[in-house]
Amino acid sequence: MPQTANGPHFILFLPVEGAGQRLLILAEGETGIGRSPENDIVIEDPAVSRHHCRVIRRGSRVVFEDLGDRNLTQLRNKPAHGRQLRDGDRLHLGRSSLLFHSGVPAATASPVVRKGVVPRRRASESFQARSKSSSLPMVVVTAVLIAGALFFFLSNRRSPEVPAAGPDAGQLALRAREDAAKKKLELLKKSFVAAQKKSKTSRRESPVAAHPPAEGGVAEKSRAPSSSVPNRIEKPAAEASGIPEAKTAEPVVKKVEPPKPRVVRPVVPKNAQEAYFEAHVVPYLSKYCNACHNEEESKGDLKLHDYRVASSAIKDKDVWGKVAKKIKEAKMPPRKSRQPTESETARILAWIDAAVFELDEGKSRDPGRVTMRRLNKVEYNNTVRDLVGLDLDMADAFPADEIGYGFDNISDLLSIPPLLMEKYLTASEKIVKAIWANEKARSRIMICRPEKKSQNKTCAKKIVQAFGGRAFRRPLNISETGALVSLVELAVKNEDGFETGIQFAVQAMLVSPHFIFRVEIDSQPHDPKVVRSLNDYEVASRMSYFLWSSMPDDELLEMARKKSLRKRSVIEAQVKRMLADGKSRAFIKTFAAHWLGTRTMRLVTPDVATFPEFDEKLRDAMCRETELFFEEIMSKDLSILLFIDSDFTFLNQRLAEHYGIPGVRGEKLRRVTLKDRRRGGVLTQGTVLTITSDPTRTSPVKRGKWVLEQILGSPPPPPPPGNDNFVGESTKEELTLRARMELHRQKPECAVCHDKMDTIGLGFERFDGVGSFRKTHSGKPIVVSGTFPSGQTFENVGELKALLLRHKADFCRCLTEKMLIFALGRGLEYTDTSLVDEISSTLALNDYRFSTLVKQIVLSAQFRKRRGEQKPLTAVK
Amino acid sequence: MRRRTFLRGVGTTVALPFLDAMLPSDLVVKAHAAAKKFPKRMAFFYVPNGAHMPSWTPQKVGALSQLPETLAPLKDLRSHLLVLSGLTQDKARANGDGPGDHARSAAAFLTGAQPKKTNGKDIRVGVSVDQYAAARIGKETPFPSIEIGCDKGKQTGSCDSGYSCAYSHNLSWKTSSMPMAKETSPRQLFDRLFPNIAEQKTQVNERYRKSILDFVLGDAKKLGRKLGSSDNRKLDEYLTAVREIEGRLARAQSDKEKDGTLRKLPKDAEKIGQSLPGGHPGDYGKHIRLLGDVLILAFQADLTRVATFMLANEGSNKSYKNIGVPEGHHSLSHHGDNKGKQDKIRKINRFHMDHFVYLMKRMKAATEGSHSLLDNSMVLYGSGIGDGNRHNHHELPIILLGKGGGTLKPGRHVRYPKNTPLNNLYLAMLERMGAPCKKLGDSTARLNNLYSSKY
Repeated sequence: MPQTANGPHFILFLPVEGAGQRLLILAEGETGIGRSPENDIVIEDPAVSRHHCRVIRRGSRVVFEDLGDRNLTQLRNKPAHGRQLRDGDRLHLGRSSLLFHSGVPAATASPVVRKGVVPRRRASESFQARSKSSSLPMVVVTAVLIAGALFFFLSNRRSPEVPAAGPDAGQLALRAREDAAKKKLELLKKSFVAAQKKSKTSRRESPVAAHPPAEGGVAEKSRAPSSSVPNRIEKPAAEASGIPEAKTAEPVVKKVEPPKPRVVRPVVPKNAQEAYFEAHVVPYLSKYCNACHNEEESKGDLKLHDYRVASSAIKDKDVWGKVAKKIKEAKMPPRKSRQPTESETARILAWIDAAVFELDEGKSRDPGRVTMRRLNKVEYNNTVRDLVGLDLDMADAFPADEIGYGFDNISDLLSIPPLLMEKYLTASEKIVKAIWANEKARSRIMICRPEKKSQNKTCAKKIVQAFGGRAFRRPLNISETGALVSLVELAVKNEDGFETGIQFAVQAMLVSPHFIFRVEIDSQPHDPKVVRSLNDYEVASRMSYFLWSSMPDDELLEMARKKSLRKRSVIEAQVKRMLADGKSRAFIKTFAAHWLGTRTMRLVTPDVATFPEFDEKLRDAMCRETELFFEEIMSKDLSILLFIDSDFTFLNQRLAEHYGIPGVRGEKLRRVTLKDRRRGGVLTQGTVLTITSDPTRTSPVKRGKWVLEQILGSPPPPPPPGNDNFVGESTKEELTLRARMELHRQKPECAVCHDKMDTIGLGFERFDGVGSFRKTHSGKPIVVSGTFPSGQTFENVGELKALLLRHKADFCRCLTEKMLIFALGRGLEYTDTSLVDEISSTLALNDYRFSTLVKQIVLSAQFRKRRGEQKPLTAVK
Repeated sequence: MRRRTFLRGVGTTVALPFLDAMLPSDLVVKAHAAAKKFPKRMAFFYVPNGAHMPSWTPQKVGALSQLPETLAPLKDLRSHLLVLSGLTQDKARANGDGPGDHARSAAAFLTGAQPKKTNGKDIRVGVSVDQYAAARIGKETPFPSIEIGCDKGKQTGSCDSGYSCAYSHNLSWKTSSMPMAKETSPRQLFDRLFPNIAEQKTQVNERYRKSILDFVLGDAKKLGRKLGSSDNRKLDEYLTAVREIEGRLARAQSDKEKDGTLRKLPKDAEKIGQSLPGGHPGDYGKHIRLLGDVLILAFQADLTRVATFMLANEGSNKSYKNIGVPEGHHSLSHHGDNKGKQDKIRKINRFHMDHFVYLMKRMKAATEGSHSLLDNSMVLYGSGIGDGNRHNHHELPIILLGKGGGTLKPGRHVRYPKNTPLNNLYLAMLERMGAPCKKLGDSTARLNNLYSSKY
């Protein structure tokens, strides 16, 4: 029985007379709403943004979020963003509106549901409840939707396939999620049949008729979309307009077909891939893509003209990932060119998802594959520290680790040039020397001493297994143990002594690939279809290197030995423990240091003549401020939104004076409550303000770019060729920086990005190149107010931060992506997008707590599983 | 031979490959096998962000009479100087990849290959000229090649428009996917080259290195059979590195057995070694000179014949306040024809050149028989960008110092036809090094006119 019908739902009112309404029951999780076809609810109203907003449902709780900075939604006379919806709330989107109903409790609903009329009834009631305020003449349409999907019945005499008469109505399209829909289809059919029987008999005493008429009248009709509609209805037809209530009170239902689930993605039949490709993909490419992406032009280094056969096309995953991304972001085809219809778009996207990436209803089962990772410098130092109990910092002499995707733990970039191998060997010698110079460290290894020669072997084995089990982060196998024991025996034979032999063995382990790399061995490494769960030891290492940048401790290794690291509850408890452990400070020195730039901060060289107040003490205080701020959010499990703005920060006297904040004494940094919104959050901390400046001046472009990249997750595309330069006239020195920047934005191709970037950057212009506050520059007052292309304005940095906070959703995605990259040690792929979505919406439902983000990452398939890898077609030289 | 003897003989240093075990402690190094004939060396010096070309290019081709401002410090080295104009690094251009000139310029500079635009996955460019040479003549010396630079590398963020920082930070590529990390600390470089001066090894370490290497090679081979292809690529790097070190041990052994010709280490080696700071030299100019000093020692002792030296990473925004240029180099290079900024760029160009000239003069002062180290070398100095403001990659600032053991005819300014690949010069250099190459990157032919009176 469809108890699922009781959930929170919307009733959608379309702006056109007679267009009718839809009842939309919200699926658990996120429902995207907007003009773009990839939304779950598509409203083709030019006044609605492409990705207008979303609602996130967890049980009975539904939270609303605006996604853009245009067309902000109001709710109960306040911005709706981030607020929980209540019964009867009305959201206006463009000229359409959504009425929210929290759904009736299951207990009261169930008997009626069984009769199959309740959904209709509820729809009508809720409509009624709000319709007093509506100025549109409305026709009630009965819609029956089952939670998790959007089923609806159009109140229309025409088939929904027939293009609607009114242009507005014709532009309406709704989408539903296929997954839930499928599951519920059978149930629904049954209940619907029951409903029809009941409704036929009760038409005359229709519950609808009993409702007081709403303004403009209430009509009720039921009609299922024709079963020929392929999975989704793009053009719901308009209801006959302006039918007076009296006339429509008696519904005329001639024929009722079972409802058809409406699904987002066209089905790409598994057995007819080539035919589908030929029918839908090839024509799309030739109509919309090949004019630019061909052999001669290959714009963006993309050639799409030569794909004729699906089986070979699907091998170019990178190409299709790019194509899907561009289409989804509505960047391609270019706006000026001919645009594909929605069904064309849906079909090619469906093909990419299903055929190329083998996504299952849009969700990926591909956990991806991380290349074998060598320890980076930080990890090497921490691992040695935890392994031998001595802080030796050997890796400080290693060459720098290369950076990709913003981090220095990216597996593909961690290579071993001969120079590094030499350093590993030298380090292993020095480490052994240091261990044997320290009685405590030595006795930790020498856990067994042979009293006679015959005990050598057993004793060596015991020592080697104990040390190796930690050095390799897993138990040694028999042959490894054997080879190490024979090293010890060789020393004994050469009369160099047992303990000397142990030293070689330790040294050998410290240069073994099993120590230097984090090895995860697959049984079928060459089959990309074979996905496996990581074993407990591998999970332990992934967790410890993620949160501690070091080897697993004894507790984790013990958990692994007991095979309990596959239990969700155990993992969650361990994450909690690990975050509370002092070793999690490594996370600040690695993840946070890259993300928030404290590493760069240690290297920047502000010009002493321009900024005489800048010295090493100030630099240090700034770095500490950022680190302590991050630590506060991490250790107290606060909201990640505090990174954008907060009412506290960490200061000592020096930094407080630099910031112009009175009342802080002494060298020690402490938490200080801020009295205004000038500071607070990372954007107004010395670190970020300084690393985004040039040595002698601020750089609003760099600051704006930093916010786009690190906070909003929408890095501006690089400037078009020939424009990666300030134009000559913009460098006239006598103009203020703002005026010069305005000059360079006169070029339309520059303005596209710089309008936003510079507006943000100039908003921070009252902070100089080392982050101290100023009101004038070279005698001229500094204007910081700004207007975004969307029309949103701000007067000061506090308001700017408030505007940025509106983009919570973007920020959550951005931070999720970054932390996921760091956790996995690889860049993200197309197949990871659903995970990022999922985690960022979970964050919204958990007060944006820091630990939620960490836990969701650790629990993800990407973190706990891996798959094989396609063998390259040609040998790599 | 008893096993133990064998171990003693071969298993010496790894970190310090061969020197300490087999050499007496009075700092001697074996000379090149044929002691009479001095080997040729090649080195590549790189400066970022292009140059102010009007102050670089001599007005006339032919004999060098008047040197423009940036090259002026080379006045006394004119007889060792070739100014090569008109060379192009096409692969530093976008060629459909959009922005990212800085990353491409460094990555393509010695490879002549188009770097794949990626932030990390499938990083790929091409084998660089120094590594091509190292693979062929490197076995003659303990270190096939040396890579040094002053910048440790950017600590965070991205480097250039979707290109991994590996491209901006490295000139030298051993394979198309493996950059050769560079040593940035003069002290570390010295200790690596001259370990016996640096510290006394414990006996235990000297003895068992070979066994330890055997153990890890065994480990690695077993592992390799179980890995996927990307993983195996990483393991290959590991194996290659271990084998290279093993080879060095074996070579040291055979050298010792067959040849007794020993040459004194350059007399200032110990002095230089002692003068090196433990950490990074604070002053940038000093940093360049110290790294260069150690490099010259390595050439003199024939520890290597191939080297690359990045004076700064490509796209560097370093501030040069010592010379009155507190602004960032990269920001300034986009001078927009602003005269003040161009003046400052000229100052920076001159700063780099001054330090380069210091090193070249030292090479000239180092005698090798009746010639000098510089006579036996080919030292290229230049950038992968021409004008930093326009980001063009033709008309690159390129000079070649030295006489290549008498295979070059310096003292001239030669202009090549437009779009002559820079890699053609590399073919000519490789041939002179005894590592001939038919094609490297986008080369089309060996560059001519390096040894002729024609201009």
